[in-house]
Amino acid sequence: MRRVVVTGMGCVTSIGANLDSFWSALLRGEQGISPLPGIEPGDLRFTHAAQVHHFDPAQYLSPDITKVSERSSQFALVAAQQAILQAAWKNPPQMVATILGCSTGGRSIEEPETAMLYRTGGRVHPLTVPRSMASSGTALLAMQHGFSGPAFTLSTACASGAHAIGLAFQAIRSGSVDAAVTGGHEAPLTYGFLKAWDSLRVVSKSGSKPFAADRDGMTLGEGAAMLVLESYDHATARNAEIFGEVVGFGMSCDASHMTQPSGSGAVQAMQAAMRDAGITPEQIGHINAHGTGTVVNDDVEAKAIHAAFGAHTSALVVTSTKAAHGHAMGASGAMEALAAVQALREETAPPTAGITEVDGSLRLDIVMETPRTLTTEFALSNSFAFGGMNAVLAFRAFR
Amino acid sequence: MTTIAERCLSLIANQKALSVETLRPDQTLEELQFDSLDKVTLVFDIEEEFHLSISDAELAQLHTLGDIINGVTRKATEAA
Repeated sequence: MRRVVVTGMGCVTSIGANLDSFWSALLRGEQGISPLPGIEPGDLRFTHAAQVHHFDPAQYLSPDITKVSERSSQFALVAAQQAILQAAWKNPPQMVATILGCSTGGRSIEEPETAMLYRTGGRVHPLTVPRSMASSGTALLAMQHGFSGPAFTLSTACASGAHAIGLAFQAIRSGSVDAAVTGGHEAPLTYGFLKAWDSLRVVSKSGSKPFAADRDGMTLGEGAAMLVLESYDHATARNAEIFGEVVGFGMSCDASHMTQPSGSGAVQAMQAAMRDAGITPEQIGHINAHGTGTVVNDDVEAKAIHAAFGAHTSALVVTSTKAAHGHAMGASGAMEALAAVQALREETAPPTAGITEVDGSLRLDIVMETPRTLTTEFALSNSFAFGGMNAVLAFRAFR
Repeated sequence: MTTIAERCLSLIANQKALSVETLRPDQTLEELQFDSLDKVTLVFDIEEEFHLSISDAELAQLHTLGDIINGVTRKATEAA
């Protein structure tokens, strides 16, 4: 089977609109959380989200593309542009796959259009369907760059981005394509979606504090993160700069509850990723956790890590970057994959932003306040979604 | 006062990011690179602008910019 390497990375997030600014903000422990505009006091239990500010798609995309796209797809296209630019393909490979994760589609178009329809009996704009379908970002990305290989969007809620990267990895490793542009994108901060999350009562009032003793929920976010993956042979043949290697992918389903993680599914996915990579738990030194900041999620994930790693758990350097970039639904797994690749590349684990005291009952070595030097060769990135759909990526430093 | 023709041409120009000055009544939508999605979007914009309804059969008869201007003028006059 072929080796699969990372040759490009790009992102649009609340803490940075490219890889360098994203990574430096992570290292500084910044939280990209700001007040939600237009929310009446008391309407929601929470007032903040990890929003992308000052995003002007016209600065990056042609009028033809901006006209038929929506914020979520535009995030994807801009992040992919950065990743493709970094990959520096003189001639794109023959078969490039476009595999993206997106959970909610183009809500910022669909929601106001249908709200208006229901309230006033108005009409719905003809571009509503192409702008709001969940696969819009993938279609536009393939069209924009002429990628004629397999192209699809998958939706597994909060694990969408990680599942997308995992399937792209498998497609290249199996030899069915030479390269892929993959990742996740989401723009879910619409009023209806915020109200729906408010009803679930899992969003923090003060900002997500993953694994902290005083954690009280997650923070919603938006954005996109994209990677260019290609076969090692293809990358080395063109003397490409290689930023990291994808070595394993594990999937599982809790098959038990819509919102309550079982833990056993997470264990199974982490073990599957390590088995797929041909490595033992003792070879892993770093985990970018799913780490949403809810009481239940972090507790269940900690127990799952203990079950998967046993005595080696104490040697793991664990961080959650969701405290910084928010929980951007289908984009989160991709943002965290970027962070994990960067952590191995820079031999540095970013801190879990905004926490000052770790929940001791979790018995995890959580990075907080300042970055931590990493000496490990391997890292995992965990994504565990509603519906119990789990995706774990294994990365190796490329040195 | 802006005429119906000027308003139509403005919507057409806006749809394809063209300059109004370059548009002529004898030009076809095809010549201006309107695809099917562009056409339905333009018709939607015209219906919104003039508060009228264009049927599928009428849409099928709109080939040139003159067709659009004449068709909208006729409908707007009938409605008045």
